Amino acid sequence: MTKKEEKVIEMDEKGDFEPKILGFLCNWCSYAGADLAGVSRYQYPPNVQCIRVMCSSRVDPMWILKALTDGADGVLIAGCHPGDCHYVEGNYRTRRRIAALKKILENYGLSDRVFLEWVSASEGKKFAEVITKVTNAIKELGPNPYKKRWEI
Amino acid sequence: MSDEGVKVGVYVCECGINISATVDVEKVVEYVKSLPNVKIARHYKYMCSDPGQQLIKNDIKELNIDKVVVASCSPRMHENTFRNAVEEAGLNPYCFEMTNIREQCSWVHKDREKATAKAIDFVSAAVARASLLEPLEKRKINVTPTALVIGAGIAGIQAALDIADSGYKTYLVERTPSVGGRMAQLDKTFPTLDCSACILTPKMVDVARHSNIELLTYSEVTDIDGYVGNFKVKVKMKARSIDVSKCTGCAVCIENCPVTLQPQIPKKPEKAPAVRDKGYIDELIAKHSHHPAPLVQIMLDVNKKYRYLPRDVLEYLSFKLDIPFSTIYRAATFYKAFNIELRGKYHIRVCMGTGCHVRGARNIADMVRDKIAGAKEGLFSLETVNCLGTCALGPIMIVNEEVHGNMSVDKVDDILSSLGGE
Repeated sequence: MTKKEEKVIEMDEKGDFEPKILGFLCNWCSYAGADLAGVSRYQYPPNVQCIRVMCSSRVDPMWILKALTDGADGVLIAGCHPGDCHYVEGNYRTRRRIAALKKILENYGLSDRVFLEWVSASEGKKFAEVITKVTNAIKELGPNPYKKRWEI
Repeated sequence: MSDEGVKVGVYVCECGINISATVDVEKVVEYVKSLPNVKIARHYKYMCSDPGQQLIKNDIKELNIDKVVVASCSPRMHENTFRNAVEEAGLNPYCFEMTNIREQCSWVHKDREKATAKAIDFVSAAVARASLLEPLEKRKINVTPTALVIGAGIAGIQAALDIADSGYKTYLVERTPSVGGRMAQLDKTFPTLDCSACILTPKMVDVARHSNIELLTYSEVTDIDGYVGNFKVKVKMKARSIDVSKCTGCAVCIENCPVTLQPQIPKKPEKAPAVRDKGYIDELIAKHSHHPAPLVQIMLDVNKKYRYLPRDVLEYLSFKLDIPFSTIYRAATFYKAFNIELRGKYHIRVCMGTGCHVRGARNIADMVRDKIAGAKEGLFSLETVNCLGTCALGPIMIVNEEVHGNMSVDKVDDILSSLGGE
């Protein structure tokens, strides 16, 4: 997508900031939770682009860094609740990795833009709430400062 | 991986009006056509219907598309439907990518413009991914129907027996020379007080004789590699210095063993070690010498005088009474009446049992520690105990023999201050 197009999507008619957020959803819990939100017609902001992964621990921290350096305003990783992982302990690894990654991102002022949430397959409502919460938090923070720097 | 020369077919489903009510499918198709590698993009009322699937099959045959993207409902719903359709048309079923513009787009948004923009992003991402897909083959892998049980305690024995009885070859590895583990050391089992050995020994015999169990005693697992169905395990069998196949358990080898190991016992000193208040201790020994077991009586008196059992006194008693020091030490640490560290004039016991703990026993103990730190040395000493059997009055504090119930931090302060603590 070219820069011009990106700006069109970012700003709606009122000129409000519309963030671009990347979501990684685990296949077994959070993706099913997102489906349930749809089936139940819980409305939420359209700012999160979701990618289905087999497990939240499939998300390489480098992908999160790549998303942030490529201009995503925020990244959400959603997986099964602790103890419920389809692969027994995948989400524990995710939890450790994200904690370490956030520590590193603190130095760049980006740690508030990474979210780790547990959404089970039965938590459609929670999924909608998480997306709304994350979108509002990113709107509060404003655009990713690194993206702005490159555009100049 | 290269996406050059890839021909992607994109199919956007309207799902009746489920998708088309919120997402402008024509706009999506129009946009997708401009993406690299996209050979054909269509929208249709119901992609999952037979005519919808036929649309994909025809394009695979006529337009030679080699990657298929369907934007419709959740892949949890119809991924297999389309994979089968793609396979029936002669394409590898994994050269198919599905993206969810119903549950995660049209159903959860009302703004048509924003939902369309989001759907475009979804489909664009799916096209990008589809271009990189590689054909995958399903493989069948043989598994070794064998089990390994580590540890031949009662749990390991029972597990091995259950698996072996189901008809599987089972390896049972035990670190020590004999199976049985902890249960072999018990007399009765809780709570029915059944005979422990009566339960265990038949199973020990079974496990040794079972045709499906290979028992590896005096062995340790050193390395586990592989994956479910195909593990490779290294077991180190320790040297026994006998030929297991010839051993009948006659124990003649024990008599003829050239190596003798004997416990090292320290020699008794030649003259009595130095001791405090020698006259007083000698008096005590004389006083209780008629007693068949004078040690405990003497120690009670010593403990009373010094408020603990000083080590030099114990060593002196060991010499005089001709009892090994280890035996004396064992008695001194076994009975609650003795302590081997100096106690304060006021010995304070604080209960840390569950009942007292939930009512704040930890704060009480901390307060006592604070008071001890501020008081004269030797005035107070603290011991935390597991239960004083007075849970209803918790938290409990006992000063020497006086019981104080329903303790609070302030009460600790008052009581200890009245006894002379700062």
